Amino acid sequence: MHNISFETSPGKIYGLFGPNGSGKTTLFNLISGLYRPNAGIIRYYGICPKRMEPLGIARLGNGLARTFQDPVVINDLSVEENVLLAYRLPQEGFISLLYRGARSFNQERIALTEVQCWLAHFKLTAKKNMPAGELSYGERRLVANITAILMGSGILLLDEPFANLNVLMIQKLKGWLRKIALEEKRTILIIEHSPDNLYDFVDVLLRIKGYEIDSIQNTGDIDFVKKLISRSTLLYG
Amino acid sequence: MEYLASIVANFLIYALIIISLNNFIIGKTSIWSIGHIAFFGIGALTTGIMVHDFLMPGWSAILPGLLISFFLSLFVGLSTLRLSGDYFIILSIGLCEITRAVSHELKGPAGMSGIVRPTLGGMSLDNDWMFILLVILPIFIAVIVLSVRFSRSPLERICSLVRQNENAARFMKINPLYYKVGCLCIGSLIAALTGSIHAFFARSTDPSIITLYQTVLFFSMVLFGGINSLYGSILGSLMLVAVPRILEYFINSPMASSYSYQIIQLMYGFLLIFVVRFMPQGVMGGSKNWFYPQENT
Repeated sequence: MHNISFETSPGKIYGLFGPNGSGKTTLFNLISGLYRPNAGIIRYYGICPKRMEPLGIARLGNGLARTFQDPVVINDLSVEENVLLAYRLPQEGFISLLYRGARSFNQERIALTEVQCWLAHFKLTAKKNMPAGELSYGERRLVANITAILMGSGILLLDEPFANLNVLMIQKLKGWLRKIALEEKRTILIIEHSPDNLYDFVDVLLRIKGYEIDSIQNTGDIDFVKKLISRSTLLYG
Repeated sequence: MEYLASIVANFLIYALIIISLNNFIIGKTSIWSIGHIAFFGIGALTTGIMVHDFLMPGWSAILPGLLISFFLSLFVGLSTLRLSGDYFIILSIGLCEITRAVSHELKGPAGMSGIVRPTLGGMSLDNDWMFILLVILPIFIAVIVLSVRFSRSPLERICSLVRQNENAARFMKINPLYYKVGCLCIGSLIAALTGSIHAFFARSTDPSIITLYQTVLFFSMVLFGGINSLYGSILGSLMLVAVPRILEYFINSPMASSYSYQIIQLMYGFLLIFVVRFMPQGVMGGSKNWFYPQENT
């Protein structure tokens, strides 16, 4: 990727769109630490991490969560258990073999309630005990989206979250995303193939083409401060 | 009666080995640790040497075996599992061979004998049934309880996640190395403990169990019973103990007995083929035990 420089503010939703193979997922991979940039820096919450790797970046500040173009869902676990993975409970390491306190159980119960609430909202309650490997593709994507959102991270990267979903689910997702962006001041970046789903929904539209940012449009009327961090030349792969 | 005691003890000890391999390592990390039996051997040999040569009191002689196994599995795990499980498997084969070589060097190819059983609160454990009831059975139950606690804890979910897609785990703030190495260490600890107990029960050590043949047998029983299945591990152990006995019972001719080793192998082979063809997830494998290969993100 070349010449990428932009800055995001909390509480805004950014939409990235562009033709196939234009580098949208590559940008996500760079931001989430899957790829390491050859030049340039990426700052999260104002901090530049020492090591650009997924685990370190996910633990910075308020965290980072992402979904993948091909939804990743744990086939062995039920739908409910999958979404439960979003929560980091106390004493979930090997200590739990010997002793697990009341606090841990309480947190798990609270998390389970929240999970069941959202599964009901997205009409997945009937399938909540089904192994996730048996879901349809669209349902898998829905579960992956829900899990990522419930992680509660300050930065949320969603790769084609609306693909293969029906209109009602898309509306529900959009409503939820709008709500968390506004209320919890989370930064949300969304990749979609065509901007149709994005026009009425995001604050800022970025068009990616040829591994470069083609254009940035402000769809809202909130002023958006663009600051050049550095010129970066990033090679793909 | 003595004979029956040794059968029961063998069953419990095999079960412990298979549980440590199946329910703590293969079932949680998908690492088919070929050299796992080395930890059993390390436990047995260390305990034997401590009791026999250094005259350490019985129960504390188990500790050096546990420590050595723990640190070895920690070392090998930390160094190889950053890359992939395959490297660990290869190193574990090396570990197995080293253990066998050390055992041969220290105590000869037939192992050592004359290990004295410790006493329990002043009471002697020379009676086999007493030893089984007061030592082997409690440990067996404790390990089963541990395994059940594991399956019902958040650990099970996290290990499933790490097994399927390590990068996805990292994005969820989970360090896959920690969980893989942790499972490995627990499995090797249980194997070492079992080795020590077996050394006390048999009053001797036998390095002939630390071979590829035994590993293949254990792997077959893991597949037969079902990966990650507790019932399956116990069933596998039952097969290991029952099949030779059944053979003994039905085939009495002297000619057949000279081929008994091969016939037993044949029977295990048939069991494996049967399971793979008709019940690929294992006899006791259930709907939650589908295994998918590691995905690349």
